[in-house]
Amino acid sequence: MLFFMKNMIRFFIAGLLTIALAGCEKDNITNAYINQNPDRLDKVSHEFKEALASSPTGWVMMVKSSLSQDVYTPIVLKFDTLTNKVNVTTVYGVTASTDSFFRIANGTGSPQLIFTTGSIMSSLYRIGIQASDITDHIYNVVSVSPDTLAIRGYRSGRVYTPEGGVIYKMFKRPADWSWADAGIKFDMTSADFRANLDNVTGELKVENLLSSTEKVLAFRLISLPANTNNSLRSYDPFSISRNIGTGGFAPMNYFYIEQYQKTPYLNTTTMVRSAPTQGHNAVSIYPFTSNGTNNANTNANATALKNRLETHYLIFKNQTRTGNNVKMEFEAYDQKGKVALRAFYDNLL
Amino acid sequence: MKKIFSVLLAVIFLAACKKDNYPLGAVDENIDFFSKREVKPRSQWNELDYLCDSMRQAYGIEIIYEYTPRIVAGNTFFMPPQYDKALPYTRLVLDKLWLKPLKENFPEFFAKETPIEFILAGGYIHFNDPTTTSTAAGAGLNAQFYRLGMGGVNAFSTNKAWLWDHIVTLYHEHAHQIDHKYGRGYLFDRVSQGKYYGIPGYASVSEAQAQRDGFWYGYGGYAPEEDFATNVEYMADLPEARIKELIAISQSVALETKYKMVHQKYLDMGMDLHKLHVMLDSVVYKVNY
Repeated sequence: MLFFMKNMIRFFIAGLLTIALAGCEKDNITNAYINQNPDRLDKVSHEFKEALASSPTGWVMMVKSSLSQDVYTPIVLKFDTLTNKVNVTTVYGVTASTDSFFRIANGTGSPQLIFTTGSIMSSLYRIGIQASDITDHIYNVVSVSPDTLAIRGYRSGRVYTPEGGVIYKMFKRPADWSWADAGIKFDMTSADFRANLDNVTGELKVENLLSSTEKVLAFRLISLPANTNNSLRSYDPFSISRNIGTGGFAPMNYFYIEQYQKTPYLNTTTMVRSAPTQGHNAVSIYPFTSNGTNNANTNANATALKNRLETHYLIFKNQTRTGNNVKMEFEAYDQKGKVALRAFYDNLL
Repeated sequence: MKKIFSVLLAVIFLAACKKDNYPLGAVDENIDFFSKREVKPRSQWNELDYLCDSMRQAYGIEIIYEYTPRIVAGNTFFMPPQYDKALPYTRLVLDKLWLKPLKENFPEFFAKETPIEFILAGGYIHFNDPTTTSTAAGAGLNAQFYRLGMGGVNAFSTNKAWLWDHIVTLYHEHAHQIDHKYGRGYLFDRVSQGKYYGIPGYASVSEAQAQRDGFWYGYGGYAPEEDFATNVEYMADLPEARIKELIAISQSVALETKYKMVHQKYLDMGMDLHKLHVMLDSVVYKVNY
């Protein structure tokens, strides 16, 4: 018995020794890897910079707006890594002609992509969830591969929320996204564009590829008098005067859309009017106070139009004119940038 | 035998854990952790970068218009200015209205009291949440010893009224900085002790009533900090004769006492605030830009 006890003490001491040795092992934290690779972050950020430059037509970020369930808003970012200028194109408005700058900083643990001056990117951050789920103008670079750049908002929004916003997997701008090229082709302020279109009742056939449903609307576009346009500008959340601190968009232009649903039949055949915004080759149905024009000072009709179309924007693909007949094709995209919805307009002339 | 074991154990424990004190190695005293990690290479400079550089050389102030993580504040949110607004703003407001005449007219005050950093904010300050649109105006960024900042740069305009309001507000914000650096003084805070309106009281007081109560306007009666800054603001905004007239109308001893205190405090720093008004009036209203 005594012998057994003695052994037990020895085992106990040996056990303690092992614990002492093993227990301290994890304290051997060193900076060896970082010290031996001083240019580690330089390498990663250089890789990121090369990737940004590798798509001359730009990279696409698909952001989620609270306005749509499945349709995401595309943002096309064209980076010039020599001058550090970035060109931002999206559907909510036409990009201002001012320069916008970005920087790649080494950050602390990963490189950071920073939109350093006022641009559409800081506007979206500023405006919040109705336009996008962007929560910062500083992004950590999460991963870099030839076809996908993953970036993540440094902050996740307001104060006292965890670090890190949504992760965006940016992809190269698809070749057929010519709408994002410079030059506005969908332009209700141009008389040529309005010919046989302005105030002409046609049809818009909307195909939702996600729900495999189809509907046809009686549909007409109407240009706006300047005073109405100016009045809407004064309410527009994207305009600098209204929402100081944003910027990036040129002064907005609007037009009326009047519509009702023909098929599947709805028991309303009265045209409902709202005033969407002219985006970059896009119709932006972004409700704000007073652009749901049938009811003064409400956005109800703009919301109704957005709900009926099941998208908060329509990107203008092309226009075909044959004599007096005008046909136009529109699209909207899902989270991965695939077509979620198509719309075909015919002026029926 | 047991004792030897115990001693051995103790030695192992002590030795094994010693390196814990500096798990990441000793601190290198020579590293300036606050220095800029990455300076923008000259090859990427634009017109505004060159302007900021020459102003840094002329006035010793770093003008910041691009936001990097170093600019981020913990619980307040600012948006960077748009480039096409930041450029003329820096050229006109910062150079021609603020720094150049300041250096020429008040060299002592300029040398000692000019912040070493100035941050341009596109919009105004947003407390707690960047998407708030409520009354979270405030030029902000003044509560730091070494840097000043102004909001509203995206609203830049050469309209005289805008320029005047902005440069006067800049001196108001700078007064907050002076306050943080040196304090308003024990006696200043005692003049209107117990009479401040607080929130939301200050918002509903008329200017005449506020002056009778010893404050230049309602906002000055919000708290001693704003009381001090509004004294500087009013002396920058109004001619000396008008200031004295308003004090006489108000019949407020507190208003006169605090006015004299602030005026003297600035005199001691090398700036006569009444002369500041004359100077600002000449650069804003007597010159066309």
